[in-house]
Amino acid sequence: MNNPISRVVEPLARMAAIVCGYGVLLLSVVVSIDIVGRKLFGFTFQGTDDMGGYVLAIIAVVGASYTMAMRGHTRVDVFLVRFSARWQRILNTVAMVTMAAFAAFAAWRGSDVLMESIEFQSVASNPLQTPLWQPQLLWVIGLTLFALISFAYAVHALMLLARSSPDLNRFYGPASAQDELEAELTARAERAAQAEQGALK
Amino acid sequence: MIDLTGAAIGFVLLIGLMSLGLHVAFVMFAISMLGGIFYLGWPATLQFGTQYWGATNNFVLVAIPLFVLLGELLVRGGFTDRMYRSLSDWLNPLPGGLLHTNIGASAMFAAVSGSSVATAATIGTVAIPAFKGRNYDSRLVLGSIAAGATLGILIPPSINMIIYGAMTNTSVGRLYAAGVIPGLLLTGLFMAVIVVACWWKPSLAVAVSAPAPMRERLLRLIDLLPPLVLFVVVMGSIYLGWATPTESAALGVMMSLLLCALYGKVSVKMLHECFITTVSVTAMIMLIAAAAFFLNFVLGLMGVPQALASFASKLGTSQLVMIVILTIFYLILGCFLDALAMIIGTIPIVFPLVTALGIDPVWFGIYLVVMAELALITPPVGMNLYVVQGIRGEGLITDVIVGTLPFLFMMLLLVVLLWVFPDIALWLPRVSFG
Repeated sequence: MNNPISRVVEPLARMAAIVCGYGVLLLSVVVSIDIVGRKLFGFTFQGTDDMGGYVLAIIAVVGASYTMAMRGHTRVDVFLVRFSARWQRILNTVAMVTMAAFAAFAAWRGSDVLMESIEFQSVASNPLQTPLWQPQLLWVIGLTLFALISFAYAVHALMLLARSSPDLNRFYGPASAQDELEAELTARAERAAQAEQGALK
Repeated sequence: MIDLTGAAIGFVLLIGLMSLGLHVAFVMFAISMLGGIFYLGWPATLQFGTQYWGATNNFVLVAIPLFVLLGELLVRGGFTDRMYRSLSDWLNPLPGGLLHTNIGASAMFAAVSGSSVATAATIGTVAIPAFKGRNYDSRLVLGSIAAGATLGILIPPSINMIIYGAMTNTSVGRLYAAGVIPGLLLTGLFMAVIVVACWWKPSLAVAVSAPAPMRERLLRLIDLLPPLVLFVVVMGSIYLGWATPTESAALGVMMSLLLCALYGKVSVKMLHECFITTVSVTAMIMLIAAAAFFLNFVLGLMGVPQALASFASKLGTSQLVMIVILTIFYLILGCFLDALAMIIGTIPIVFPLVTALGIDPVWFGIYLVVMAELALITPPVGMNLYVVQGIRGEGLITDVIVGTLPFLFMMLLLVVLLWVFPDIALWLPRVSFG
């Protein structure tokens, strides 16, 4: 991957994704304790289901940026690859621009949800009465980052289109099944090598 | 009120724009916006923010990242190789030998993993080398891996069922229960087709190696424990009413983490790799889901479900005709659409149609999952075909496609059986949940 924007975005988005992963793990711990506690000791945390919902909403938008950088958002490539290189450049650019518009609209409408929660001081309908602006703030930050990143990609694609650059289809074409598999196999090979090293020790 | 021509135009646009390679999530969003602006006026589309928050802040869907994480932990925990070897001890004597292990290992891995592509990649990397230097028909080997791996979404837990349940307000617990018997039945059908093929043409699979000593085989049975324990914990906690399907996924994550630790596979690097895949796959699914929920919302305001329902009853089609039409429709759609996107994208239109005809939502969920399985192995966009071909790294993909054909017919046979005996799916949820 030598897309200049992804080189900047990918490491940052990767770190954010790892932080989100810890969120998922923490959620599993809390929910598991809740189940065991409820069944065996008759105590329960309040509002784990609400917390789970917040975690999902936040990781979904924060992760969207990483998935974008890895070209992981689902596209149908079977017809696209049958177009000429020129048309592929145009369609790939359209895909990036429309995605940016989608993300921007989502960020705009999302921030409105946040503003309303602040204005009406909305709280979750659980015993904890979590103020809704707290999870929604993180959610809107995630949406905004996703919109900014998508916007940068769209502008870059447009610039490459203006120059008829051959890089455009490489950077902004859909990741093929082959790409995904290669990544998976490389990771497996690494793990196997590590396991062997471990065995030698 | 909307006329059906409008809905049909929208649907053609949906498929057309997707075919041009635009992002699937964007296309669903764009169609919702067009419909909303055209039929309801601009202010209705401003609801998008509230809908987005509501759709993603959803405890049923929280099971998705949990199951992806669970599957990632298992893949990296190195249980598959041992599980494969232990299963082959017992399945080798059958006609077709090691081929059955592909199906059996897929079914076992499927029982704890929520994704078919992950199953194909994991079983494929273990299985393909195992066939090196043995006289098996390579097409049947590849076909059994690609097709066996589709069991991943039929045998619970299943990400497809979670999304179907969330979008249609169908109980995920019931869907899980409904998937068990069809999943086992399809496993049996796959094995039966291998037995028949090898009995008819013994050259397909020769050189069955002598079985290992009984003592060794018995000792290796312990390698089957990790997936078994996980399945019992996840499904058992739902069945006993201790946990909701989402909560059981959290328990499953803790169990698989514990198992990985027992096998000495847990490290910070390994965890981070699991996290990155989990978050990225979740984000990919949730972006489409958010757009699809919005489409559902807009279509609902436009009265499309009612219009479709009255259309269906006026047409007077029987349930059978509807299912036959849908099967052809999904077979074609599955040839070029991603399996999950296909399910999510068509639910808003198809679900009101079939429920208006009195088709059971749980039964239809299982039917849809089988159609998604077919989509995973129908060319040109069958993900599993590419995954298996990629691991093999030689020859033509045609080999894989031809090899999956017998299994493809078994899936269609399962659809027929499900139609004739709906209790294959509906009996278990009825006795478990009343």
